[in-house]
Formats: sequence, structure tokens, C-alpha cells
Amino acid sequence: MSSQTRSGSGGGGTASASRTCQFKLVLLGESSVGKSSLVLRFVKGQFHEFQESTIGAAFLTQTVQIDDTTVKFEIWDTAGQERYHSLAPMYYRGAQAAIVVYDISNKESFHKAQTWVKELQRQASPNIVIALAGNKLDLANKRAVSYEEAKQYADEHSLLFMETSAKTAANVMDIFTSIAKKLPKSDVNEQASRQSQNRSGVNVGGANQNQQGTSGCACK
Amino acid sequence: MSDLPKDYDIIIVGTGLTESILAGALARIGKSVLHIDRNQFYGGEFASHTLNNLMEWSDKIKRYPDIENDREQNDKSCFKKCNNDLGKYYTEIEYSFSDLETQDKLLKLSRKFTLDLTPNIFYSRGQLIELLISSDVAKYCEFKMVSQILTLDRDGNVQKVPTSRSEVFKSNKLGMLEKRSMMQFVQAVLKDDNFNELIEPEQLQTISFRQLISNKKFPQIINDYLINAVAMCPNEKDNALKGLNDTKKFLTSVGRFGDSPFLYSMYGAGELPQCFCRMSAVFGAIYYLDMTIDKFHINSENRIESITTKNDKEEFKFNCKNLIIDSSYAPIDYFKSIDNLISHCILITDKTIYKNDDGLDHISLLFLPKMKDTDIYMIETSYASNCSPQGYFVVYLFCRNTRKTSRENFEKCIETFFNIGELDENKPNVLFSCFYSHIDSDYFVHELDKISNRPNNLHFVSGCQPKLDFDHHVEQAKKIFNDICPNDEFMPKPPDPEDIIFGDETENKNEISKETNQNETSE
Repeated sequence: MSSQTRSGSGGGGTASASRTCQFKLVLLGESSVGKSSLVLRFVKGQFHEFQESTIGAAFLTQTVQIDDTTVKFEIWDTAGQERYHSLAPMYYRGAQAAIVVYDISNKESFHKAQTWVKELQRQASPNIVIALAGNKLDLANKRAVSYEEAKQYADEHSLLFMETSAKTAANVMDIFTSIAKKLPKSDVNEQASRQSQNRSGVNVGGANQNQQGTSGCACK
Repeated sequence: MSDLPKDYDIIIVGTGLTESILAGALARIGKSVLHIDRNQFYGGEFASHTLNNLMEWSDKIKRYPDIENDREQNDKSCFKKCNNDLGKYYTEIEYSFSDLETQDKLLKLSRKFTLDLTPNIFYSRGQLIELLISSDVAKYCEFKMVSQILTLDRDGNVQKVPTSRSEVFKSNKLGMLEKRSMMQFVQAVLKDDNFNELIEPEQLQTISFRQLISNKKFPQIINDYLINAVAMCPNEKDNALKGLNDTKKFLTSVGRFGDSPFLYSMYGAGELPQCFCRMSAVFGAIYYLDMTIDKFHINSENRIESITTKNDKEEFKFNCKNLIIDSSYAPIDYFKSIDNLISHCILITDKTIYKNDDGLDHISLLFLPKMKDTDIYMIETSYASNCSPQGYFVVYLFCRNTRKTSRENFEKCIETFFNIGELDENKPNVLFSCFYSHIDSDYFVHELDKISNRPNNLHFVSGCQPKLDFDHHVEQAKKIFNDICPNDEFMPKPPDPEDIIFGDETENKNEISKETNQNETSE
């Protein structure tokens, strides 16, 4: 694979002519299939056996280098809202990519993953790139979902598919890289130029704000 | 659900806007929060629905039996049974399609509509937008400019009100003299907080804004712009101070994100409670939809110590130190028949009320003073806010109810703007209409707060008001937050996710080498 990752602070480096694209990626799946662990492995290169639910992280960012393009992922975790079937639809609003995670040692979590895929195909933006991740590959001796079964399901529904292990890091990088390759790349500058057009919105916390004092007013 | 913790600092019932802001603020400072809602969706009174879901919602409310009071005695001192009959809160609900063919067509597009139960727009410098920015919740939501501020002129024509300096100077409705006098007034309003150049201090609260403007001897068109479109203070009871403050709020909001002072929530107003709830969850609050409060239990010190919740399958008991509930869940015996109602109308139409030459989809605001004896707010949304499919428009009307039925409040307004009966090809056709009214919950909460033996750790929250913007919800949330946590900061900016340390980074014993041998399965 020609791709490699850089730390979130990246951007410098020698490939100064490279483009940067930013994408919102959401994680979905039943509780304790390892959603947060996958992100933590990808973003920080860490794994904690008894990972507490992550307090205070709205989302994490990590970049992947694909040829001359830097793909920046803004990765959203469910913050536990999936636990009692209470995930708000705004969570996957505007997401360009999703990883639906199940635990290969838990059949029920695979069924639940299929429900999430259905939900995304119904509710999310039509061009969303969806990947299915069979996590906890390190527990292959307790496997309850076969590779073939999951692969067939993924193919039928045009999903990317990999079995992963946040614990051993197996395929974690690869699944994010595969998604990055499949995403349509348009440059941040192009994205910004589209902002001025009718379809895009105002991000009040971001760059759209005119820097003016409280008395500032175009009327004056 | 045996894994659900039993003890909480705060239990919040209802996922309306004030409750959701409170959930975010309380979880943010480390309080343990359980947040529940009787519905399967977020937002309660502030939810946005697809067309199908709106119909389901109204059918469900119409079905609520009014027999709750007979079911169980509620005069026990040790517990109070809470209301779950939405028929006590909402009244006069009806909806209809123009014809069967239209109905089929619209229902096929149901998901493409986002219909707000409590539509609203926000001042760019209002408290809600400031809170979204200061708390970082803004990263969860997106807005669109309300690109057209409209007004109805004396001849009954819809006019676009110029909002920015350049629009004022480009306007062909205003003469040079008029432009200059409008600009002078604008500058005087912005100059200082006492409005010294415009009015004697002792008059601020004694004369009406309308009177103040008419004293200035502006041309009629400027009078109308200022009173009806900028300040939106047309009534004798709106004093000069209120009018000038509202004018200032409007003027300072212009230019922050664009020429218009107003923002509309992309995908509907129902997104906002969800954004605050996400923040609350990120800081550890537990969310459980489709779970309602059945009753709360009061101890001998007249404090609530626990609540019983239920859904179709289960019943739980949770302990709490404070209980925050939306007034629609208030104890059954607190409900009295309340005459103060707020009425709403949602229309789906096939044309815009004001055709602009630029060919773009717009979001428009039109304030209609004294339409029959009530002031009506009209908001028209379109494909521009992802709230309707292309070629369709959603119009919201809301006002204080002064009539027998919800529909009667809006009849004159609908006749004025839409094609009813006679064929006027220029007017939009109404394809779908829905009318409903609900208790003025601000008034209701005011009454509830007066109940003498009310437990002192019980906090009632009110819902929708016939006002522009949601700033009063921010104020309400701050007030309740201060009652519960007088010494804590209200929603400080969260730490940058990049700075958060996960687990115990100092002893990374679980770190496994990058190259492992378990890659056999994939591709």
C-alpha cells in the first residue's frame, strides 16, 4: 500500500503541493463492540483492555495520506447514546463516511450492524461510504460470525469490509485507508468556494464569521 | 437493563430545548445526569418531523383518552403521578391535503420534508448563537441565512426589506432623503445603550415605540419598515425601550454572518436540542428515549428523592437530588384548564410568497402585525435549508390564540397570501395544512411555580413561546442551572479533543507491536 498516516498535527512535510480534504466519519454499532477502541488505535496508536467510555471528546481527527492528497478524518463516536436506542439522527447528518462495527465473537452484534446499515442507507446522505468492520479479530477462537458470511453481506450491500482488531492493530489502518481511497476528493479550497453558493450552510463556530466588534454592523 | 445506574445528581424529563441545554450544562461540569423522553424521538415540543411522522404525531394526540384523572387517586403526599396525556397539552389538532392525488405525491416525498413543531429563527447575535459558539456545540450544527426579511405594505403587496447598508442604498423603494433619514436613525440606535440621541430617558418606558417613531416624522415606508420588520413592536404596550433594544439586536446581528440578521437551523429547529444532548452525552449523561416518568416520590422534608419511570416493557426506580421536568409532564393534579394558548399552522405550498429574480431558494421571515387581533409570525423555508424537496415550500405561522379554533387565527392570513377558492395563478397553492394549539407553557410554569407545597428540588421547564428566537430558553436554562449549581460556570468551552488524555497513557502496557500475525482474514 502506498499510503501512510501522519499525526493530526501534520500538514507540513515535503509534499507542499498536496491537497487536503476533510470528511466527517461516524462510528455505529452495538455497545462494547469496540468502536471507541478502533478510533483510539487509529488516532493515538493505543489500546486499553478496559476502555472506559470516552468522556469529553466530541470527535477526534486523524489524517491519511493518499498519493498527493491528505485526507483528514473528523471521527465521531456515539458517546454512548446508542446504548438505549437513543442515538440522535443529527449524529450521522452530513457524514461522508461511516464504519459500522460488530464483534466477530457476538452474532447478535452482527445483526445489529445490519440494522445500522439499513438506517444509514435510509437516513444518511445517499453518497455515504460505508465500511463494515468485524472487530475483535484477536478473539478468533471464539468466532461466532464467519468471514464468508459477513463478506457476502458486505458485497451484497456494496460495503467495504474488513475484520479488525483494535487490540493487535490488525487492519485498523487499512480500513481507514480504504475508506479514504473511496471518498471523492475535492480540495478544501474547492469546498470553501462552494460555501458561497446557495446549497451550503453557515457554520457559526467556524470561519464564516465576520470579525467585527459588537457594534459591527454592515448598516453603519 | 440491569446495567443502568440507579443514582443521579439530576434527572431530566423531556428533551425539549431548555431541558437539553440544561443537560449539556450539568453534564459539562461533571454532574451525573439521566435524560429521558416519553417519545422515541428527540425534542418533544421542539421536534422536527417528516410528513408521515407529523401525521402520526397528530393522530396519536387526538387518540389520547381524557380519562387519566379517574385512573388513580393523586392526592397522596408521598408521591405525585405525572401527566403523559398529550391531549392535555395540545388541542385543536387537524390536518388535511388539498386532494387525494396531491396526498399520494407528497407522501412519497415524506422523508424529504422536515417539519418543525416549533419553528424559529435566530438573531446572529442572540443568546442562543452566542451559547452555541462559547460552548463549542456549534460544531454539531449548521445554519442558513434567512435571506429575505419581508413586510406587507399598505397596498397589500409583499416587499423585501433592505437590511444591509448596501441593500438600503440599492433599494428603489426609498428616495435619497428617506435613505438618509433611515441611516441617521440606525446610527443613533447603535450609538449607546440609553438611546440619548433619540429619546429623553424618562420617556423610554412611558411612550410606545410606535409613538416614538411617529414623532420622528419619517416617511410612511420607513415607519413601516422600522415598526413591523426591524423591531417587530407594533403594539401600544411595546414601549420605546423594548422597541429600541429589539432594533439594536436586529442591527448588530446584520453583517455577522451575512447581510441578514437571522439564521435558520439547517434540517429544522429540531436539530438544536439534539446538538445539546450530544454534548451532554459526550460528557457522560445517559440517554434513554421512549421512557417516561410515571411518578415522583417525595420524602418527609418535601424533597423528591426518586422517580418511577416506565415504558411498554419495563418499570424502573431511580434516585435523584434534583428533578427537572418539562411542564407537559407536570403532575396530573397540577393541570388546570388554561385559556392561554399558542396556535400554529404548517403549510406545504408549491410556490414562494415572494418571488425573487435571482432564481435561488430562500428562507423568508414575514411579521404580520394585527392580522385579525393577533400578531402572526410567518417563516417560509425551502430546499435551501434541506427542509423540503425542490419545488416545494414549507410555511410556518404562529401566534397567540385569540380564537375558538387554531385554524381561525390564520384564516385571514392564508386568504391573503395563498390561493384559496378563486384562481390566482400568482399565489401559491396550499397542498397540505396542519393546525394545532398548545398551552402557553411559560404561563403554565409561572402558575406551577406558585404552588405552595411544591418540592423545592423540582424544576419546571416551559416550551415554545410566540416569539422569534430561542433566547428565553437560554435564560431559563441559566436560571435553573444557577438554582442547582450556584457556584459553577455555565457551559465553559470544552477542552480541545486533541488535548484529552485517554485511559492511562503513562502505563501503556497493552501497546502491541504494529506488526502482528493476525492479518490472515482480510483481502
